[in-house]
Formats: sequence, C-alpha cells, structure tokens
Amino acid sequence: MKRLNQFLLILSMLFSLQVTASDLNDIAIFYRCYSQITQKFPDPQLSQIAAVKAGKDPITACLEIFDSASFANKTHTLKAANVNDDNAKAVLKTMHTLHFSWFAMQFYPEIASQYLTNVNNILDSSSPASFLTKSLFDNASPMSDIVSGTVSYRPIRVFENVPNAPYNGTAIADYIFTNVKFASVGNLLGFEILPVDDTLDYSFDENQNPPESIITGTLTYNKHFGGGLMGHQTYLIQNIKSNTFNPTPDGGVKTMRNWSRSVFNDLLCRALPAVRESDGASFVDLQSSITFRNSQSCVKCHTSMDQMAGVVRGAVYSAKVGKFFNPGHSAFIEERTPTQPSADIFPTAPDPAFRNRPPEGRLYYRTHNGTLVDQAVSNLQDLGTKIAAQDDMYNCMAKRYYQFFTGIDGDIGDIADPHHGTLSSEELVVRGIILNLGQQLKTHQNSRVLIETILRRPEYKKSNFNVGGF
Amino acid sequence: MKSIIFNHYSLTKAIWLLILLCFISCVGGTKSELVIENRSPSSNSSTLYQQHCMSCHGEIENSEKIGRTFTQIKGAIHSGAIAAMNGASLLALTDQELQEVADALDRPFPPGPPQTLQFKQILGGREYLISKFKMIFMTDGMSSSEETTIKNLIDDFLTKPGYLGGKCEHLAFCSNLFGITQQEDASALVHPIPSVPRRGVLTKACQEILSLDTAVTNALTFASLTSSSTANETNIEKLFTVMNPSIIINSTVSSGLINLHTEAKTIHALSDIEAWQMVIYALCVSPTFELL
Ligand code: HEC
Repeated sequence: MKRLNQFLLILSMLFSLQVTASDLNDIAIFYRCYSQITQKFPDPQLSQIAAVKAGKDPITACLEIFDSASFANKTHTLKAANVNDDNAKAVLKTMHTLHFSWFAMQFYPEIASQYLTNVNNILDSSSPASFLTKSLFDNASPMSDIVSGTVSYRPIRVFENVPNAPYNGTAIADYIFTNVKFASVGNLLGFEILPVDDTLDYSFDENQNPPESIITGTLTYNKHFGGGLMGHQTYLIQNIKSNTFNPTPDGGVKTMRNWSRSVFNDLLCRALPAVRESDGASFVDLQSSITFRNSQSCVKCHTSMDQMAGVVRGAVYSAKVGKFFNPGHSAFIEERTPTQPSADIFPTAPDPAFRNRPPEGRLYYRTHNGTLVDQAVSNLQDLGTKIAAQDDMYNCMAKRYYQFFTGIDGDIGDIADPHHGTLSSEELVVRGIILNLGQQLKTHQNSRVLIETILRRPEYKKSNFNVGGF
Repeated sequence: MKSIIFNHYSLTKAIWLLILLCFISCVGGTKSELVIENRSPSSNSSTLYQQHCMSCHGEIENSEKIGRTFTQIKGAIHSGAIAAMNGASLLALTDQELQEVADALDRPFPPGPPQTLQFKQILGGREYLISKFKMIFMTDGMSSSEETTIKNLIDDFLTKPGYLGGKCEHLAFCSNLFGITQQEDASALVHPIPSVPRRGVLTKACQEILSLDTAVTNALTFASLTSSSTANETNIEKLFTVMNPSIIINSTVSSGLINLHTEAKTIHALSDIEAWQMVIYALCVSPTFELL
C-alpha cells in the first residue's frame, strides 16, 4: 500500500508539470517545435540538436527542418519533398493533414442513397487543403491564392506501407474508367495540377448479374468554377451535398446552402449566424411561403448562407456512372450555362428560373470588428476576391495556426454582437494577438512568415504556453 | 521480470482516476471576473409575456424574440403566415397589451456567460508515439527475441488500425476497391483529442512493453544509465529529459521519482532493474509522455 501511494503521488506531480508555467531552455524549445512540425520524436543524433546545444537559435534550427519541405529550388515546382528526406516528408504531411482538418467536409457524400465512393479514386478527398499547403510551402504563392483562380491541385503520394498500389496510371481490371490517372495513395510528396475540363471514358455493366448491355461514354470530371479551393471539383462535390442528382435550386426553399455554410466555416472560421439579430430584420417577410422567411431567428442564418449560395446555382451533376456495388458510383459537378436574365438573388418566393440565371450572389456577414459586409458578387471568382479583401480569412488562418502551435483557441468573432458571450480579460489579450497576426498576414500574404512569427512569440517559450498568464 | 506492479487492480483504477482528473483540470483557463448586470423587465408586461408567449419562445430573460417591435409582433399574430400563432388567445390581445409585450422585449440581448480561454494540450499523434516508443524502448539493429517482441507490441498497440488510427494514407477515406480497407482517423495524426480509449491503449502498451527487461535496459541506455545507476537527482533528470525532452523537470518531481525508486528497493525488496522499471513505467503512463 505504501508503494502504491508513492506511485500515485509521483503521477500527480507529473501531471502538475504540464500546467505550471516555466521557461523552457533552448533544447526543449527545439524539441517542442520539431515534434510539432514533424509529428516525430526526434532522434538525438539530429544535427540541429548539436547545433542548438552549441548556441544556435532553436527556432532558426527548427525552421531549417520546416523549410526542407519548401517548394523552392525543386525541379518540379509543385513537388515538395525529396523521397529520401524523411523530415521534409513528415513536415509536408503534418501541415497538409492539419490543413485538411480545418475543413468541415472531408468525405464524398451520399446522394440519393448512392455513395460516391468511386470519386475518391480519382480526386483525393484532401485536394481543397492542397491550396493551403501549396501556399505555405511555395513562397511565391500569396495567401489570397487559396480563393483565387481555376487551378486544380491534387496530392501526389507515394506508397510505402500500404498494400496494392493503384497508382500506376493505368486502369485495373473491373474498373469502370478506362483512361484516368488514379489518385495516389500513400505518403504525401507534393501536388500536381490536374487539367481542368479533363474528361474520362467509362465502360460498365450496371447490374453485372445477369449480364446486360455495357454502358459506355465520356464525361468531364474536372470543371472548375473559379475562386480557388471553393470552386475545386472536390470541394463542390463534398459540400453541395444535394439529395438528388438533378438539383433544382430555386433560391428559396432549395439552394446550395450546405456549400456556403462550409465556406463560412472553412475560410472564415465562422459558424452561422454570422450577422446580428437586427441584420435579418429587413429580410423577414411574414407573407412569404418560404417558412424561414417568416422568422427573424431563422432568416439571420439564411441571409448569409443563401445569398452566397447564388454563385454555385449553376452546379449540376454529370451523368451518374458506376456499378451498383463495387466500385461504387461517381458523379461530378458540371456547370449550367445561364439562359435567363438576372433577378433577385434572395427571392421571397421560390424562383423556378433561379438555376438558369447568372451565378450572382452576395457576401453578407459581420466582420470581427462588427462591420456589416454587404457586397454583391458576380461569380465564384469574384466572391474569392471579395473574401480576400476582408480581414476575416486572414484572422481565421492566424487563429488556426496559432491554435496548432500553442493549443490556444482564440475568439475572432463579432464580439460586439449583444448575443456574443463576454470574453474574459485573458481571452481579449489572446484575441488581440491573433487579430494582429491576421493583420500582418493580410499584408505580407505569407503563411510561412506567420508561422515563424508565432514560433518566436514569448508564450511559445513557456511550458504551458502562458495560459493563465496573459 | 514479473509484472508485479501491473497486476495491482486498485493501482490501475487509481491511475485511471488521476488520468481522468487530469484531462478535466488540464484544460485550464481563467475565469473572467466581469459581472454583467441584467436589466429586468417590468413586472406587468413580463406577466403578459409569460402568459401568452413563454410556452413557445422561452423565458423572457432569454426569449428568442428579444428586440421585436409592436408591428412585428402584431404582424406575426395577424398575418396568418404563422399558423402556430393564430390561436384565439393571441388574437384576443389588444394593441395596448401587445405594446406592453413589445416593451418587455425591448432591451439588449442578455450577454452569454463569461467565457474561459479555450486551451487544449498539444499531444503527439500516432506517428509521434510510435517513433517515441521505438526510440526509447528499442535498440537499432539489435535482433534479440525480446527486441522483436517489443517491436511487435508497438505494432500491435500503435501501428495497427484501432483507436490511434491505421496504416492507410489516403486521407479520410480508403476505398476498398484496391484492397485497402483500413481507415485512418485524420485527426489522429495532428492535434488528437485526449480520449479515454487512447489512454487505455497507451497504458496497456507501457505495461506490456515494460514487463520485458530489454525495454527497461534500452530506456536506461538511451539515458546513458544502467540498471545499477543510483537514482539520484542527476540520473533521474537524465532519464526524464530523454523521455520528455520538451518538458523541464522540477525538484518535486525529481525527488518523487527518487523516493519511488528507493521505496521499491528498501520496503518492497525489488531488484535494481525492477525499481527502475517502476520509475520508467510512471513516466510512460503519465500524459506528460504524450505532450509535444
Ligand atoms: C403556440 C406557439 C406560439 C406562441 C404562444 C407565440 N408564438 Fe410567436 N411564433 C411562433 C412560431 C412557430 C413562429 C415562427 C417561427 C419563429 O420565428 O420562431 C413565431 C414567430 C413569431 C414572430 C415573427 C418572427 C420573428 O422572429 O420576428 C414574432 C415577432 C413572435 N412570434 C412573437 C411572439 C410574441 C410576442 C408572442 C406572445 C404574445 C408569441 N410570439 C406567441 C409560435 C408562437
């Protein structure tokens, strides 16, 4: 019993080590940083450890390892990691996995009871996160690129431990696509650019048993709607989440609001409502047949979601292809050409022609400092430009990197909203730090610089990241 | 070596308790000292609200309809658009009464409760833990049968699919088309959420691995110690630092570990290596071991 007490006593002491504040020495800071960016326990033989012992600045030493994953000076511009450089690969994987974890949707959805499992084999489900990873490791790529342009990235992976590599560029037996380069599986090496508007050929026998006629055809699997990651095929398929293969948005009852809700979450770190109670007032229409329009409390979420969703109104699924069982179905997102003139983007009655009108929408939300953003946008690319012109996307990225490196989750919402909870004095300090980092990021547009700034902050050198001491 | 310490039922239970306590208290923060004053609505109008509105829209203090004007309320009742509000009792309310309800609702939104700083310990993911267990408890290039057992134990507990994730690297989803059926929990790689199953797996891994002499000697060698090294402050610090390189030990922990070693030997007559086994086990099962 005596021994038991001693044992428990020591365990409780160990626990207390992590919550009390003390200053870390340089070696400990290096170990902390190295483990965070590689997700590996460092080998004591690592040359940087000797260098830090000899007086090198620990953050500089850690950033050396971080920068080994940089795209600079690589023969293939988009390839980060040398296959033989374990640290570089680990850094790339850690940061990409981190970026991927920021997305609300990470799977291909089920549509009309059909799982789009087959899409996975062509479009890596983490493709939208590639924009963030690319921007981080390519110094020439400004942060605003993540919401701009029609480039379509896809991870390049290499098989190390996983059996049955599919990634050899050719179709395998029983596979329905005959001319497609599969998404690779394995450790991340970098990114490739998939040709936009690329097509693939398919050939399958829907029911297999008894054999019926073989269905063949060609379809476009990689349309891009503009606006960087928001218009990437993967992002559209994952987030539009229509419950039918033939969505007919009417701007009222039916609209692509899952997608815009994800944009608020993924790029602005905002849950809805992103406006104040009073901002919904002018949209309340008690006569409307659309029930959420009758109530201010409902409308205040819909004003942000539905107005933004207008920019993807033209999205429509390609022909659904695939066998009933393995390898599952596929459907990709194509774009309707507008045939009708512009009209109210937030109609109070369902508009049957809504889906055939130009992809116009509105960016409508309250910023971190309470300003109401209310801007018309003419398409997805324009939405990206307008998001990138505000502070909130940068604050959001600063908040997330800061949280990754310190564990501290700051509040960057509209705290002046009477509905918003009151922040403690310590939370206000942390908010100030993050908003400042966000402001800097907006200016320099470089997430690698942002990370260095975070690592060099005083709280990073504290055993408990200064929690309780701000 | 007998796994004496590991079979102690109440010990295991007590460790669990401590671990759980830690995960509650370690998510630390400070409470705001701001006191928020609430303007309370006048009594007559709030009675009207209670009688006619509360059942659907909640208590007046936190009513969904705070800030609604007379016109909005009258509109909601009389427009016919909201079927639920067409009841006789609401339609019977006079303009005067509706104005009073509106007055009661005319006040700032109640502020939410003061927040606390959200903070989560940064723990290593699966890959980190695998590399850490291997670095500390295995020797490179040695191929004794105990070394192989240690490797297999690490594989069984940490590498194979389970609570800490599996091998598949097709982030978030692995199609079974290509014979890959294991799914990896993407969040297990980065910033894992401390969870009871995760603690269970790690505690069990520490137990099984440390019941092998080789694992204990490997850890000691990694810290440039041997089983006959004395458990003094210098040696304890060496061991602690190689096992937790980003955490600074303090004198309380150091003397606690020394006492643990001493009592194991003096009171319980354990051998040198068994006494160190106790110390290393304590370090291994502590959540500190998972911290980055
Ligand atoms: C039988 C349930 C019920 C009662 C009683 C009721 N309401 Fe409502 N009310 C609703 C429903 C349902 C809606 C529509 C959904 C929503 O907005 O919450 C609504 C909507 C409203 C709206 C319009 C939407 C908005 O948010 O501005 C107002 C204003 C309103 N109620 C105020 C009141 C007031 C004041 C009373 C008391 C005099 C009252 N209600 C009593 C059910 C009720």
